[in-house]
Amino acid sequence: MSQGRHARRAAAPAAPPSAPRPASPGPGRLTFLGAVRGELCKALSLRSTYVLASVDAVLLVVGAALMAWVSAFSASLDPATGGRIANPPDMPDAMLWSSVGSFVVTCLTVTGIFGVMAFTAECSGGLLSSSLTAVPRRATFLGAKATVTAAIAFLASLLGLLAAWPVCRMLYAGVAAASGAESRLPWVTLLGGAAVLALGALMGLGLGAVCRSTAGGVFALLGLVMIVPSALSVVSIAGDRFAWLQSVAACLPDRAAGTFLTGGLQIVAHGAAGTEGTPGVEVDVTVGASGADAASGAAAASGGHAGSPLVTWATQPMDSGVIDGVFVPSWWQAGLIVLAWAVALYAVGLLVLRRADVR
Amino acid sequence: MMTIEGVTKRFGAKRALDRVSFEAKDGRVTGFLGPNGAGKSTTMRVMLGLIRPDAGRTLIDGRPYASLPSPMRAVGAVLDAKSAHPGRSAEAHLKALALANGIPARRVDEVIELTGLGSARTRRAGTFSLGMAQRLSIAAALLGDPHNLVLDEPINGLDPEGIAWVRALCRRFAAEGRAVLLSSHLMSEVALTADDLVIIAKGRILETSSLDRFVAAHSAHTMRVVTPQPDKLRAIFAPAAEVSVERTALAYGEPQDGVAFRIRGADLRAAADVFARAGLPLYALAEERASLEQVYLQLTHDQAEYLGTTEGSPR
Repeated sequence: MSQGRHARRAAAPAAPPSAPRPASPGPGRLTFLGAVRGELCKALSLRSTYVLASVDAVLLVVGAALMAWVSAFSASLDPATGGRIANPPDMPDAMLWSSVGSFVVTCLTVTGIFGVMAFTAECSGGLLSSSLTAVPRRATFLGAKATVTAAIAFLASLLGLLAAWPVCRMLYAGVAAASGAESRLPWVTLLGGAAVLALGALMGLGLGAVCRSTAGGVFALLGLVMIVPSALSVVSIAGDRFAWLQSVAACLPDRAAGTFLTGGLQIVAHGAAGTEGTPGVEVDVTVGASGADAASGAAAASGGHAGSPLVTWATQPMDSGVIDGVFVPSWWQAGLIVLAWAVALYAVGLLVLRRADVR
Repeated sequence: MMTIEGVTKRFGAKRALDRVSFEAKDGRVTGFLGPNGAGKSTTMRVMLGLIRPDAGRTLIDGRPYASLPSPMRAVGAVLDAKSAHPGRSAEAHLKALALANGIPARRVDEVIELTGLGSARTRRAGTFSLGMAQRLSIAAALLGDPHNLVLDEPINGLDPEGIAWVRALCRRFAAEGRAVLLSSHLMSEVALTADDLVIIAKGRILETSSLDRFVAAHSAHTMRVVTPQPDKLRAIFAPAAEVSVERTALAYGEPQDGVAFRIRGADLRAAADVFARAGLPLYALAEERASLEQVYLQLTHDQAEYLGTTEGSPR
């Protein structure tokens, strides 16, 4: 037996293993930056990354265009005749930006799924073992993944929002110059909107690390951004007794993201109902996030004869704080709430991953 | 060198590892042998920081795995055949691992060549056969040109050429003074490659020894004799009470008028001398050792986690 063993050793194939010593793999070491580069290579070598980033960017543009078109169309209607007004009123600047960012909340689902899959892509076969063998420090591993995932989500979203801007501008006949607090809206919508979607990806990553399965992670994400908000809005019909639930609903990621994107401004349409006999009756239509509602309200309020728009627009600061026992976060508080969600879900994901046995 | 010290791990109520301790020394191939479910993979995963032990510790060249400055240079590990994302190319998989540890890109090309994956480098890993996937896992393990090699059943799915290649790889690593830990559930596989032997069953180490010592300790010497005159043979050994002579089957190709015997307790030289002087015609005379596989099976039989039964023949 023993002799046979040595004989087999001698007969071992000579070609690959006894080839000249390969060049040394260098003196480098495991660093966070290296881990980030590795994760970037991983993300860019998967088809799902390109699909989800494209869906995110395209959906932002298409949704914004749809919203701008509907708003512009409603504002140009004369409710008295059903015809079009020859000279529709200029839209406020806030309306333009509200359109540009109108699908950010919807796309939270897209970047969230991107985040979930950034982790669960590791859960096929023995991939997580091989990744954690290369990067055994799990905080470094998840941190690198988070950096890359958030960066890709941010860039794809920023690209989508930057493309949505000129599209919306073209769809509106006229946009009034920005005034006062409106000047922060481009920053809040473009950079803030992209940041919100990057934070959505981090929430997904955290949920993915907790669930370690695509189905579970996506379900948890949809629960957070769709199912729980729906359930709370149903309960809120019951009225003031459950005011605290409305406070909770206002702090969920989707609502908080929506509040943040208003930049703390609401659009108000003052329409002078210029029908004969009752001139000067003022109708105020006030809308927060949704530009389309304001536009259609304005159209209803204008009521003037064709060619004579009587509506005037204004943007006002939104109320925040505790209103009728319900907590309404201000726009920047809402932004911090979204950030807190992302940090919390990421932290839970890291905690679970650090304790997990990878079998 | 890889050191495992008193590692205990429970999964729920099941004790997967029970005070497991052993060393895989530099310059030697350590065969890690045990039936399915004995705890081989769990032990290896504890060593690589993938599973947190309830007690005990593991050291790679004297340090815990997670604290190594460059893990892939210290240890190359093959834990699963399917270690790459099915949608990712072999090249991208290796590149991502290399980047994390600051290993230059040309090393990726080298391991691709080394493992014979050159023609498949841009193919998605999901389209790989088991053998190809195993080669990719081995390529990943070699990226850091590591000082220690951990191979969990690396020959699964490999063709004979691939198996010989893995054996030669293990021998070369040991010859260069590195430590190799090679798990298998086949004694025959380990016997061909290993210097040291660690046998585990039901989460407990049953035996640690060098292969040579194990062979010497467990192989009873027997002799196989084929002769056309069985009565004469029996007569020769009749006075020797310490020698047992039992009939056994003829091997393929041996003359049909011969009768085969297994003789235990007699010295080969002395017996050959006696046969010659007695004028006993022999068709075959050879020393035999109990196969290591048999010894290993006996050792682990009562400990095996999952025992099969043969239909119709209750054990």
